[in-house]
Amino acid sequence: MDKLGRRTMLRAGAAGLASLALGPRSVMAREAMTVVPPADRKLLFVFCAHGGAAMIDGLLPVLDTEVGDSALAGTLDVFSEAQIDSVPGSAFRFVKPLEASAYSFLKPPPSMRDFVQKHGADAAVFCHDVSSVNHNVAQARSLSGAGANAGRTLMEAMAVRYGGGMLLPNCNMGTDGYIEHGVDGSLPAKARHEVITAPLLFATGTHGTRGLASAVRPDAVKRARRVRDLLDRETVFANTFRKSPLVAHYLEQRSFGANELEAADLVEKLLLLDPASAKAGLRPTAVTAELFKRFPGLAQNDVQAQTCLAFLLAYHGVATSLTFGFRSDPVITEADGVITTPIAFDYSHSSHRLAQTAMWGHLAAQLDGLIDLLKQHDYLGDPSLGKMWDRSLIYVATDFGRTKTRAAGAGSWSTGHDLNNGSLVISPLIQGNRVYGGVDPKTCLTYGFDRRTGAPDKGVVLEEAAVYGAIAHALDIPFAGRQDCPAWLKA
Amino acid sequence: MRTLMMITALACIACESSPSIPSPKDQPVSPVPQKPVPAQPERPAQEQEAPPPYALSQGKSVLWKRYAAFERDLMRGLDLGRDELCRELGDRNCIRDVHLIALGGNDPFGSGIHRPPPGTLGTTPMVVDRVLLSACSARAAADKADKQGEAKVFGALQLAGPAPAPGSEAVAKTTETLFRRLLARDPKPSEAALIESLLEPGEDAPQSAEEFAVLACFVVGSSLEFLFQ
Amino acid sequence: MSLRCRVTAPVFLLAALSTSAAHAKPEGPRAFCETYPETARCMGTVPDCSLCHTSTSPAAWNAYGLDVLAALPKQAGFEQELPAALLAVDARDSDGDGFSNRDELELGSRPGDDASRPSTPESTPSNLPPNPDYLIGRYDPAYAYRRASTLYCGQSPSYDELAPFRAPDADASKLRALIHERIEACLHGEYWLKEGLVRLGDDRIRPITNLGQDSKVAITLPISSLSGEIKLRSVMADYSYDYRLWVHALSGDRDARDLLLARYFVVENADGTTSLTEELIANPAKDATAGGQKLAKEYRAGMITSMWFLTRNTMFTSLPRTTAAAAYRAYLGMDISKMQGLMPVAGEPDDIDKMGVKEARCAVCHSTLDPLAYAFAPYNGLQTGIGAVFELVLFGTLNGDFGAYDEARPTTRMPEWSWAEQQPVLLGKQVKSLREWAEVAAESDEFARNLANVFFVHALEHEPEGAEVEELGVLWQGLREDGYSANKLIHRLIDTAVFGAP
Repeated sequence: MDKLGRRTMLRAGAAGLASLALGPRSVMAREAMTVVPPADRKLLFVFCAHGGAAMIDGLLPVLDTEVGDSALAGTLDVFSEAQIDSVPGSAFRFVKPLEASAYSFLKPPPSMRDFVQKHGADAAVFCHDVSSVNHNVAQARSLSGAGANAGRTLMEAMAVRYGGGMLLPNCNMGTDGYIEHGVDGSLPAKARHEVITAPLLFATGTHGTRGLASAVRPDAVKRARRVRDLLDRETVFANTFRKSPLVAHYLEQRSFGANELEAADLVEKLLLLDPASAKAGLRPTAVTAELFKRFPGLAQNDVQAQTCLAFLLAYHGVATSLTFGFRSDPVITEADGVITTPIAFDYSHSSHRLAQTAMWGHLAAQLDGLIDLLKQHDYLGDPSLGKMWDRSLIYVATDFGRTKTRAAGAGSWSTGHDLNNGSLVISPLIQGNRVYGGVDPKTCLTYGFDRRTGAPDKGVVLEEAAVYGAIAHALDIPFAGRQDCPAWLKA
Repeated sequence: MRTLMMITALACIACESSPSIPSPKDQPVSPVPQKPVPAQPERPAQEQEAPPPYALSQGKSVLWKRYAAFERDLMRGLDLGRDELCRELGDRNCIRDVHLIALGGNDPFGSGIHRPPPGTLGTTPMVVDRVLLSACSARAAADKADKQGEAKVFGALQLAGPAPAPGSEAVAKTTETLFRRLLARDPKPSEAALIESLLEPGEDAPQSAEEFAVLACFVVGSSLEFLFQ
Repeated sequence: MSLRCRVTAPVFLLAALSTSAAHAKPEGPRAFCETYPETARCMGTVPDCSLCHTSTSPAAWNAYGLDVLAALPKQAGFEQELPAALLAVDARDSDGDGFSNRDELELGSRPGDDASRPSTPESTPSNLPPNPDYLIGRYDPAYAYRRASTLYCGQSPSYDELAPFRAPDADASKLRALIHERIEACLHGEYWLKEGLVRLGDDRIRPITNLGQDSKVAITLPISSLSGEIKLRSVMADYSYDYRLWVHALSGDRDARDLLLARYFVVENADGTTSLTEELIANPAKDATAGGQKLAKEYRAGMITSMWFLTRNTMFTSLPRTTAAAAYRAYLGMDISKMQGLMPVAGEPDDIDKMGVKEARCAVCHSTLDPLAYAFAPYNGLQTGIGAVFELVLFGTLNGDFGAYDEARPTTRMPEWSWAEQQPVLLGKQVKSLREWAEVAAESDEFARNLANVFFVHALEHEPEGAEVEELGVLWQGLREDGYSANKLIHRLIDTAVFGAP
């Protein structure tokens, strides 16, 4: 039988079985999202350190004197004593910014000192390798644990665990691999992330009328929507294509938008509008006004705007998973010029130390500001629910590490990608002020630890699934095969 | 036995995948539960409706009219320039600058998003409503301001006056114009009757011809038929 | 130094299929296609690992993979034993979805995934009257017209434009002619050439605004010139050349193989029109670190040798693996980072740049990737010669050698390099140069399939599946007959049932 003939026949047979065919996986047996009372909710903030934040250039620097061989030290990414700093009682050393003149086209970055001093007690460095040095793949795996949880990202798992009843439980402002959905077809549609690219005005998309230059009264719009819904029952188009998953999904979203999203009246709550320039009858809340004080450049600084929107989405109970961070394009403002490097941490290809110190400084400053806010504010503004920070975990997701070597004695050099690295996690839910694992000064390679006891172990190599499992463990997200990390849980 | 199980499964799937055409009545907002609730479906089972008595598509090939065609169809349909359609807070272009991703676009030069989203987002319907209300309002305002009798869309209405009477020629003509301009077809009688139902008495009924114009335009322009192909 | 894989630029690295029963098996896809050459998964592509695996790190199999694994005698080599093992489970229904493995393979569904089943023709129960507005299950000219107009004109047809389609006695062939007439006009129109087609290039060109010609990042170079401080905008290359070539090759009935074969540059004239030139183009922006095009004509290969493509992907790396992988993904449709298109070369990877890629879990992909990358080794990324430095010091301008060809580059960067050993291989064929690499690629089924797939996915918004794979096959196989015209491909696509039948 010729190939086409056989296929045609096969297809005819398939048609006979069509009545038994199940739909696509997307409509099959989706897991339900659990509704958790506010008191028991947790918050996950994922900061995307795009391009490879090398832990040995952030909170795990190696001193040249620790190498034990000055010639070898001259070929490794190590530091003189004058180049690093620390605060009393901290488990972390951190790298100081370079001389201002070394930043050439950049505004010199802030120091990491404030971050370490104020929040180091809740910070942990988790030493591990990754399984890819391709940006997109590595970014996606940093969030999916390389398939640790049936392809579900941490943010998706979080949304399923805590996001039931939330309006947009999983909001993502990342790019490239950080904005890829997981691949678990059984994930509830609402646990998939909402993409946000314009954080300042995102709020306007949560309402059909607020802030619009239209004289139409809101209740008249409601009537029009009801008529529209009836029209969408009447038209031949809508009836003919009623089985379309695309159309059915849109109708669900439209019902959700009109009945739930709008009712929450989020425009003023989420609008990042400078209180000094209130427009269209919209008045930012007092909380938003505080954001402008804490991050005065946020109207032009996209990373600050993302951070603030993440905070507001969490504060108002809209979301439980917030993803945000650096993009490929640098932050440039009228007041300060170029603030971050092009291609973020990946500018290390051109100038490793410039890129790493600049980007770590900005990363720390963002986190410092965010944690300050989380420590100051009660969840949902309700004192009975306690401070937001008490239920928060910040995961600094990065692609991979950077190569550990340099030309002998070089003061400026470029680096490539390296599987070996570590991740920064900050949360009161874990035992902070601690490095889990360690770094071998002779290679600058990190090594793992015993997940049960926390004891460093040079023979242990942990990968993405272990990071994923440890964070899920801390956030009480259960799943089969989770790589628990009892060592870092608070008793 | 296996067949029985599959048929049972099929019945369950049918519940989940049945079209979720909304009820015309307002839905109450779900209160936030105050104590733990076990896992439950995202949404209650949708009202079951009898399918229409004619052949239906399996719907696999439906095309979402993404930002560019959405924008251009509105520009042509309402005879407005790109920046006249909608500007958030009077400043930023709603479609191109603020809600591009929600309307199906991608933004390689701004936010570094190189691929468009595969489907509509949670905020897409609200964004659609915003753009339609804004654009329809802009058209109605422009037609109202026109003193030369050259109104582009709402010439059949006395826009400075009260809402037109149901059954009037002005309503019929306006409905026909909107269907032709936005859906490229004539309205069926039942569809025209629905547009006319906007004028049924009530506090939420349009109080002016201009308001009727905007609402009728909104209904047609935010319908599924305008948004999908 | 550790043997862990590391690379000096974005490169792929994936874990192997390591268990006691099986280690890295990149030969699997090739052996599969030798067994089933006419299945959809082997026409212009090779299957990826998910056909048998649920995970590759650690290795785990789906129901079909487990059946195949059980059928392997494990006495001879994997590649030798695989065909018989595959055939041995042909008749089985591994995933229990009611279709045999063989039937699923032939019909384009996944035999190890019970949610993946052969698609069935969209049928209408015979007891229902016809749809009043649509020809369900048949080609509907009005429906096709609306879709095509939205996609290629950026606008739905107007009431007047649809008038012929409303006529009760409309001649179907005339309506089709109307569709094609309208779409042909749109394919030469402003929307398609300035926006619709341009956006299809984004994920292949991957621009970065502040490293492109519009960069606002001004850097002060740590050297002084005769004219004083040197301050230049940080430009890696001008990616508008890439966009222009992308649009040029895929429009106007031109040969789309120019995406890989063009020796010309598409330049924008002062009046906004474009023209072609084969001349080198000096950096026109005196205040920028780069611009123009620096590659001599004989070394050019369309999109994959533009200054932007080479600088963005190669940067400072010695062996441009990312560059090769990006070309393989963008123009042949196979993403090695997702274990697609694995065609390992015996004896590879050689680890010429000492990155530790011989390690088993790295070698899974690098045995295909490194031979792909050898052809790119003589092409500069972000690198400039001594002449440019003199110019910089003397005149304060930079006209460096970004993206230029340097025969000595491989040996300069990788002292153990030998062209005899570092033999570029693409799709199982040895090639001598990147130009030959591009020629093999441009003539391949993979190129044609990928090109058709780009437009298929754009129009249908999903990857072809089931019966659609056959429609895609007809489309890409028609490209040769049509002189690789993307426009003709689009016309063919519009005529397919999958496009025009509601």
